[in-house]
Amino acid sequence: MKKIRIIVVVIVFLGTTFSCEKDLLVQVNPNAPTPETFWKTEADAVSGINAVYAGIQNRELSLWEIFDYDMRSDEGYSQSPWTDLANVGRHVNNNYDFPWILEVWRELYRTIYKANQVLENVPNIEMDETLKARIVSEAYFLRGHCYYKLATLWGRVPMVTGIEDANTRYPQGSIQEVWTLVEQDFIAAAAGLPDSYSGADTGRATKGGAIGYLGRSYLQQKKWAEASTEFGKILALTPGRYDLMPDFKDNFTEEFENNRESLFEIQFVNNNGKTGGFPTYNNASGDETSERAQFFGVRPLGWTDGQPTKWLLNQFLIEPDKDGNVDPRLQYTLAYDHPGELLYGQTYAERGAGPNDRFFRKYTNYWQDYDSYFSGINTRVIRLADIYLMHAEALNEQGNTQAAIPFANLVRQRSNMNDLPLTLTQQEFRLQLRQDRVVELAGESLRFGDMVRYGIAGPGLAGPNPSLSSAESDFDTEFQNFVIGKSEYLPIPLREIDAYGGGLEQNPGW
Amino acid sequence: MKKQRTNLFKRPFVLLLLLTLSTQLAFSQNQQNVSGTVTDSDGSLLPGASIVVSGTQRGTTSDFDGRFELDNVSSDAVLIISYIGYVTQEVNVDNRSIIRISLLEDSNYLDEVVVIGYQSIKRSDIVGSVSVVDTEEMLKAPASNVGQMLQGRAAGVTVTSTGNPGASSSVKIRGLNSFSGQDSPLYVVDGMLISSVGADFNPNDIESIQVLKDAASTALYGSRGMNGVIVITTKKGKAGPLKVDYDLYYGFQTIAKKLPLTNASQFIEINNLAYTNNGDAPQNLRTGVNTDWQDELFQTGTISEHNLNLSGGAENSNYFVSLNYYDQEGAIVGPDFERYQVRINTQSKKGRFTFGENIALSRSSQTRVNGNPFIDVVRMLPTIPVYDSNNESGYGYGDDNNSTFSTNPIGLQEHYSNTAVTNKVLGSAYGEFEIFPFLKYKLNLGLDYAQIREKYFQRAGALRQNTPGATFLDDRNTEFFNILAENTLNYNQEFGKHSISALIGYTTQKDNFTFNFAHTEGLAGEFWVQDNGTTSPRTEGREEVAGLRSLLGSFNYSYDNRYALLVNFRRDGSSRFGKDNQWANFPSVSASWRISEEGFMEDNNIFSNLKLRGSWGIVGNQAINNYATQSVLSYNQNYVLNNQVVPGATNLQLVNPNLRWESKTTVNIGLDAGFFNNKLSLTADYYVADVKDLLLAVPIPLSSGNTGGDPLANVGQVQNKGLELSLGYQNSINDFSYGISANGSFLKNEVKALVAEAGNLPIFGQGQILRTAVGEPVASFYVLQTAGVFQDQAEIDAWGVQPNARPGDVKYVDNDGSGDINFDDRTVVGKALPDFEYGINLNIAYKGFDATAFFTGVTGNSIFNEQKWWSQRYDDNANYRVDDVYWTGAGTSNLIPKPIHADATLNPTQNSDRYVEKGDYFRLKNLQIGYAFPENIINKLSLSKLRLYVTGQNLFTITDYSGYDPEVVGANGNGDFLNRGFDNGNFPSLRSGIMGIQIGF
Repeated sequence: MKKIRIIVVVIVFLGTTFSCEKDLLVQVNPNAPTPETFWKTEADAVSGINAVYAGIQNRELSLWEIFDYDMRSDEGYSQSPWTDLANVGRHVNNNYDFPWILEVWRELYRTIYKANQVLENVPNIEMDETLKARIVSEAYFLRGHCYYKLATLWGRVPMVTGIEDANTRYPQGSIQEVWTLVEQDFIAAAAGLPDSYSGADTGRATKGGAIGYLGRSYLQQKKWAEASTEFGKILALTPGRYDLMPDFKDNFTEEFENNRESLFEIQFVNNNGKTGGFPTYNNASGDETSERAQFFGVRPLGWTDGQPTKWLLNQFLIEPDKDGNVDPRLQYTLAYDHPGELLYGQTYAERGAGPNDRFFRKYTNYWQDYDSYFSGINTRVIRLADIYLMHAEALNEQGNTQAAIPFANLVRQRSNMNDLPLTLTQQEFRLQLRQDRVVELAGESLRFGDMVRYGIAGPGLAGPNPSLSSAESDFDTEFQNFVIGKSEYLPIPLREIDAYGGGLEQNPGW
Repeated sequence: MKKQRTNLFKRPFVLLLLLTLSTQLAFSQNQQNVSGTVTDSDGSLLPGASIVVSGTQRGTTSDFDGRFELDNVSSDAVLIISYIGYVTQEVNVDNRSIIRISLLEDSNYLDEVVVIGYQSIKRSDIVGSVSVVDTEEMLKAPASNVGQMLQGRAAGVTVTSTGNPGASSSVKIRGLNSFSGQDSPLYVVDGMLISSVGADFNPNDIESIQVLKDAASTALYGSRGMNGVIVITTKKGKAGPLKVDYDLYYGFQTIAKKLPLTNASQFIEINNLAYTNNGDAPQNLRTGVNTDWQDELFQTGTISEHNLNLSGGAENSNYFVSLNYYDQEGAIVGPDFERYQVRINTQSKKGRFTFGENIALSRSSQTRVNGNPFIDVVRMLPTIPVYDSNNESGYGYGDDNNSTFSTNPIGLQEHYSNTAVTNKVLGSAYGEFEIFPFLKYKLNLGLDYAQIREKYFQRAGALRQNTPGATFLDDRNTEFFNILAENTLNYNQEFGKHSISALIGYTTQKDNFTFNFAHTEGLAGEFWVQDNGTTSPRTEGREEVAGLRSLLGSFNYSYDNRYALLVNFRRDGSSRFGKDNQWANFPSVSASWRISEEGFMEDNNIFSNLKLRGSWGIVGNQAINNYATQSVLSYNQNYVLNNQVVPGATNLQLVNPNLRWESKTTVNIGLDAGFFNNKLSLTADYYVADVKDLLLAVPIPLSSGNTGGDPLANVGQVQNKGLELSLGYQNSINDFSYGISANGSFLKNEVKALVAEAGNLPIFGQGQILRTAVGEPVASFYVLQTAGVFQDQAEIDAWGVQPNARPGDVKYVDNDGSGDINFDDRTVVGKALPDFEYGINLNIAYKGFDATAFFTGVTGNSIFNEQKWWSQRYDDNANYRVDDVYWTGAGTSNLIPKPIHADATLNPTQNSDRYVEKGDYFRLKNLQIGYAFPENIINKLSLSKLRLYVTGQNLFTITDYSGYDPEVVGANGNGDFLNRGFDNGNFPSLRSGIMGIQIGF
């Protein structure tokens, strides 16, 4: 009897013990593939590169970089009630982890990580070699785009070029080393990118985009000869591949996106047709819109967190067009209080705006009666007019002023401005070109880099009476806080310095 | 429901009035008959109590109704009344013929059998460090969840709670052990292992709670034992006819403190000054509005509970059924919590076979707090009205002339809705077979099922400056289905003075989780369903499965009740880890010596119990999420090409595939002593616990490109050293009985190592305010140090390191000696964990009256006060405190700088020691006064028990903390190692006044 009991219990015990699932402890994530099972097909490669593009389109970039570039330049100033946000344009950052610092840094590096995944994995996929080369080149292009922004916003940044484990600390590059990385990426991109795309691929990075960006990178480093060589390659493609659009304004609307003047654009579309609420990104049927219009738009349609300075308006009023009228580019760049001016269909008085209130128009939807977080206007990163002006600068700095002036004139002619005489001296043309770039490219996030390159950024720009606001003064008084040798760059996020643990040096002065 | 509650509530008071009049008196004699009742301190009748006439052999026992009679007793005799588990009491007859005896429970009763996991043992045989909670006292303080009730009740258990209805408390045992966020104890409810016991669990069902603290006690829980184990056993029926107990209470709750904020005219004065000080024209602030946002937000909340128990049993079976309804309306506009629970516990026996089950079905509904109202009341300006019909939402908020980026806290609660409904089944069923008298087999099956439906929606219109609000609706459905099967063989035999018990077991647990989410926008009207959405629909979903397989064994040898040795072992395998690190072993050894049982102690009159204990063991923590070692692709990284959305996919989050278990090695030395027949008892434990391989989400550089949480790594080492003391004293003199119990825990916590590869870098929490660094306690406040306010230029010049400062600016300390002030000057100015925590419980009983006072307190910790940060920054608009004296000229203030709006200097927002305050407090947590009606009255009502009581909670607090409440969990209610002690709008504890009635049939 006893034996039977024992046997019964042993059977029950062992039975319940081992009848359970054998592979209970082997649980594979049922929600998504792993990198080991991904990166196998052509479709995977395309998805992978698309994700990199998604990175440069991220809201943290479309939203904050207009503060980091445009507000820090003399084109813009802020009277945002969000004091900390307004401060960035005043060259003051009391917390190095503010979103317009930390999130821009973070999103650029997230995009770089995505690009590095493509660079690491796509070469191993068995697929059409032409397409493979194109995708790899696109990844180089997008990584170069990110490092260009890092080089101009922070200068000395970690040079992440691979996908190592989480404990890897990539070394901080010198300003020169970071620029070299930018150049190498664009050179590699130019080698494998096609001249153009058709149909469903319209909007991807092109060879012209890579060359133009490489030239811009050289120019920013004052490598004039290298820069003009690259710009020359673009000029060889005009007017067949590239040409100025007949109308200046066609560069800033949804209507003429990816046009002949454009070398590279960040693509947006208001895919949900929404006008209210907040966007959501990176979900199934999430939004693919730009937030730039909302943050610059006129109150109460937008936040007016950034506005053009009086100085910027003045630049347009210096030189009338051939017919003696105001530079026609002004009306598409900014709104200012003058007879007939409408702010999203209403007068200054109806909108409650004051005589010293000016508002950015470029890249906003000012022809509508509303603006919102859901702007589908593509951001033109490089366009031919900029190439012409950069080429003119590169030639002029090499002492070839006479050859340079016609390129500036090409841009002027489109907007019914008088040609510059070929008799200008190098210095006269240098100063005129700076002026020409402002009126052509204001609000396109280029001016701050230009100012640093020219070496003109400094507290002197604040003018004789810095206590006036930039809306009242003829100078951008926000420059009173600019410290030469410091304010050219943003502070590296404190969180990053802390996480690096000593291997990352803060930018000078911060 | 409300109406019924009111009626039930009123009736007993009418009865009380009538019945008090009918009390009778007795006459005195030399030799007399004595009759009476024996009850416990709550008035429940005790059958089977022994009543002996002192100095004689004469005596009796109380009958089933707790009654006794003794004939011919001398009128000056002394009766000795004893009952197992209660303190023996001596009562002078003193000419009385009717004597009511109320016995005090012996909270240190050594023969009591307690459940400590897979075994039940006599309290005197406990070898490890186990706190046996006095649940009787614990349940006197009404609360929605067990955690809140445990506060201050057991040495080594740290509980912090908020006044947020339905919110769980933060419960930590012996310091902060894990950095992973999974640092809360394991709960074992009637044999089912669960990770938390929230407000959906009815605490009134609890029969006993044991807190297992050292490795020797928790080793049988292996990979889940590291943060301690709380073993909860629910009530069972006792042999006898149907017994009905009905408890009801109802009370009011308020926010105990109001901050002294400025009214509109005071605000305008300071705000205008702040603008003028910056050289700007003042804002054109609204006049004619004077909103006291605190008054608008705070309200009198209510708390009520009905609890009905039906129990009984016969020789071979018993049952316990409880019905519970708990309702709490928040002390601020908005939140509430409601719980319905049914529990059915049964046990039946036939011969060698025992079957039992414990099951609780509950449904709870919670309206959650939206946003951060306790910060918003400080940030909102008194010049903004609560309601403003000019705004689409109908609520007032900041505008260009009354600028603040605060959100209307009333609108957040009224205009938006955030609710959750949880349906839960928690239970276990077991069969036990006695193979031999010394060998039992048990199969225990456990179930923890929860279905949670969360719904969040926003009505149209803004509640915050520059923040548009369109309608949207989020629906979230989550289901947990966790099942457990445990097979154990229990061996128990005595050979003369040798006693051996052993256990082997095999257990399997499988946790299933599914989650669905739907979002839609453009809803019209008050129809908050997905079908009513018109734009931007969006869905999410996820499934997870986790498996855990374990072998466990325990061997316990004791000799002559004097020496005991206990060896425990568990081997766990978890699906969460990669193949190479899946299994781990968790052993422990402990021994005890009961000195009081030795021959040489026989004649001593002091010690009734004296026991030395020692233990060593290793336990672990599988504190990672499912699939945390597996890297995955993320979809929907979409872009636009040719104006069409094109899909993208990529890896976003970096993982570490080689994660291992966290493990903790604990050495524990303990002493249990009972003095004077156990009237006085003392328990002391000293421990050193070393945690290694800490799973830590190491903040990796942003330049890694990681998206989402930082990847985990096994990196840290932390040491917790502590001393825990519990003292109890109870005594009774005639009808008067009293008791004191106190416990205190000293904790010293030190981080020994972090990420060695990265130079042991400190880890920072939210806002870089708290840090955890090697050589420091976890969660240290790491901010700039201030040295007052510059009074004049001479002081600035003398100070040297802030050459650009103006008089009235904050003076910072250049800790790194670099000659200027920057983030390298941050230093540790406090820590979030207290040095010492304590609880003191006093109780007295006289005849039918009883009173309990319960105090808790902490010392040695600090709190970061975000309300203060807002009210003293001045650069960004928020309300100010009327008691803040800001600098207006030399000698006016050395604490608060000159108010400057849009101040672009270091003054305003720097996280500095200006905002770190001492967190010490001492508080009267609970005060209860009760009266149990005498037998003659309850008899007439055919009741077995009738008791009325009033309770006050958080009646006073002594503290220097200037915020709402020093009992702060942490940032956003998260009490983990990087958020603890950061008061960024913590929901304060509530002051309550409660009246209750307990009726037994």
